[in-house]
Amino acid sequence: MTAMDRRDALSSIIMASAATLFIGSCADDHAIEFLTDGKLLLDESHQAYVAVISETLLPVKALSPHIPAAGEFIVRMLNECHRQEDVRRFTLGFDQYKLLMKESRSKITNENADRAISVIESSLATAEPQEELIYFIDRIKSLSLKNLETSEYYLTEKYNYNQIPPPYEACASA
Amino acid sequence: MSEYKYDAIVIGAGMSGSWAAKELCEKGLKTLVLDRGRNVKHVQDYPTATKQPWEFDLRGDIPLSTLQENPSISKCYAYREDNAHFFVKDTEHPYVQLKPFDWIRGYQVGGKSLMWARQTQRWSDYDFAGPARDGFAVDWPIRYRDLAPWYDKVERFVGIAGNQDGVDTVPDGQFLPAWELNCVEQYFASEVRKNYNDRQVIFGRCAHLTKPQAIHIEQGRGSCLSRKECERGCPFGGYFSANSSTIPWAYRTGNMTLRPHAIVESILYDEQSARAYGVRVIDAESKEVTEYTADVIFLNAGAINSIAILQNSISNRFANGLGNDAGVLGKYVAFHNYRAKITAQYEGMANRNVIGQKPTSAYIPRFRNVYGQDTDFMRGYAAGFDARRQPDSADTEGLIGQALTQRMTNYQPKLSPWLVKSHMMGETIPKETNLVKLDTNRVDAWGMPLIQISIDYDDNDDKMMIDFFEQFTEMFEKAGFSEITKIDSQQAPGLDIHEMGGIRMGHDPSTSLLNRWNQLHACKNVYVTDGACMTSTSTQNPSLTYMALAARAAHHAVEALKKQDI
Repeated sequence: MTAMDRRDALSSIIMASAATLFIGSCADDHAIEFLTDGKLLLDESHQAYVAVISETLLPVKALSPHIPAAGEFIVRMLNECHRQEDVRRFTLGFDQYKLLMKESRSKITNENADRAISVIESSLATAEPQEELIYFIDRIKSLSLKNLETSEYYLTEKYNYNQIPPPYEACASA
Repeated sequence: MSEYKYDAIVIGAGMSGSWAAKELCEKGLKTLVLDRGRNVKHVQDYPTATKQPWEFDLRGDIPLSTLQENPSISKCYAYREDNAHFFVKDTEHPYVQLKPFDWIRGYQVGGKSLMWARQTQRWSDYDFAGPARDGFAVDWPIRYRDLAPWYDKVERFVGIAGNQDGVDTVPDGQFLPAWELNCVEQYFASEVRKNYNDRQVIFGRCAHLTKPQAIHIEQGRGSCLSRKECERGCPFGGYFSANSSTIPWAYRTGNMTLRPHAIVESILYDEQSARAYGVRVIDAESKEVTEYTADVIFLNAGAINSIAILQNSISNRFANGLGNDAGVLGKYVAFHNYRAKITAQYEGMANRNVIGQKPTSAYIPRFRNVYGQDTDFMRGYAAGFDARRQPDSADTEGLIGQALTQRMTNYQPKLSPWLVKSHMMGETIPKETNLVKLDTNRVDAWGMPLIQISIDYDDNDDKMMIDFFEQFTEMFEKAGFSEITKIDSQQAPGLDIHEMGGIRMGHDPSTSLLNRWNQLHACKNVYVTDGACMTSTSTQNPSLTYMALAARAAHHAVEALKKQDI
């Protein structure tokens, strides 16, 4: 991962945290416990957590009903098309992310509540995010993009995809 | 006629076997067609044919576990999430690679005709007379004139889109209208014509229906819609497959019995009559063994499997495999060298693009060593050529949130310059050392000996590839293309999916196995008309020639039966 990628990852973590900082539903569970034989079988609350991060990094819900839920797609792609060690990295990164949220939440007081994000920023500034956390956020972003780019909405609206293509013209105007 | 006795048996319901079946059934022979795979019925067994790209779970990607479990098959250019069900699983059908060989197989009724590249250039006497002229392999016992009427017959039935090009090495035929080459393909063709007098760029003839004729409508087939999703199976029958055409046609005669899941263990030989009398079959599911008898047997299991079946057909008379008096069964296997590719860009015609698509590309027939020996390597190569522009995708680096969404939704894709590419299709020289044989110790799940494959490139292939790069670099430069990149994929043999030979035709029973009618010299009621029969490989895709040979041999078999000559 390049330095630029790392900066992107930090920005992404901070932005995602705005939506996940106060999600407490699965704060005390460990995603790694859902890893069995190299497959990540997340429960509903963890899958929803991934979906929230995805929607924060790439908001698409308002665009079209023809974009499928990214959370389920991300986990499926991880399990089917990633090496077991990468699924594990993602899972460890997920736990690191949740831990970051939990620790940041504990630092939030009545006095600094309006500056919650800056609490996370200072946490990240004092502790270098681990490689797994960067991988986790990077995978969510890139698989969210794939989910959008291969959606009915995007292929038909952006690339005029039609299963029956228009009549062939060998030399048309560009 | 009993359940076990037929006039004819065809082993293999793919490209060539289905043609043999069609011809034999049409001529009134009660024909048993055996295939080791499952049945695939036209339309109803194409589960992905009309699925949209977003309906696939992995949106076109292949599971990593599938890639790992299928190291050979997954290298095939046509193997995708949407059609993996038409390819064998390497783990279920093991073979022994004495040298690296990626064996691409489709075990089902229809075989690889469901996923083939549909390229259908005729062979010429520059191919059939090639070995005799250039002193390799053995002389083909046929010439172009022997096959020309059968090419006509097959082309009319199959439906071939093409132009009458007047090129010596790829004779013209019975063509439906071709697609027009796109503007840069036309430009390249004109530049080649301007700069060279020994080479041409033509439309690659292909088995697609551009203007269905009555015979195609009778088959239930319709126009090709250029979806380019052929390898999923075409519900419109827009391209030729055994499943859409020859198998249902044979079935309609009432003379065909189709038996899927039937692994042929061996062809049975009667010492007294000196004829084959049937086949022994292992049911792929129950493993029950059954014998079927017939007066004539067509072996069309696919080149390597056909070799293995003969090698496994042992008798007192043929201790080394049925018909193997010459000791060359399984030897002199050859293939096509597809390692070399060349890509470039063309900055011209920036205001032009293509609308829609065509399911084939341009084709550059062989131009080296055609009229005489003019290089330091034997034989030559043909090449594909295509030009296209591609829309780019949005740069998303550093963007997140609404900014990322806006970039994705507001982005107007820009077209790339014209991207051109060509790939070499090189003839390889059949050699005794390129061979297929049976493993004497290991067997597969059905108790059949594992097949050992030992096939490799040689110096001639390397020299040919160097020449391809030199010639095409020059041709590209003269056309004003830039960013020329030469690629040697270093792929193993096999990925060309054009393995040929091993049961070769020839005049002389002491150096070949099949005569001019594709009969075993030593067992005249066994015909082999798939890739195994090929004496040399030419540069052209071979399926059209297999089909023509199968039709011709079936006609011969019927006449010979009438005369009680086999």
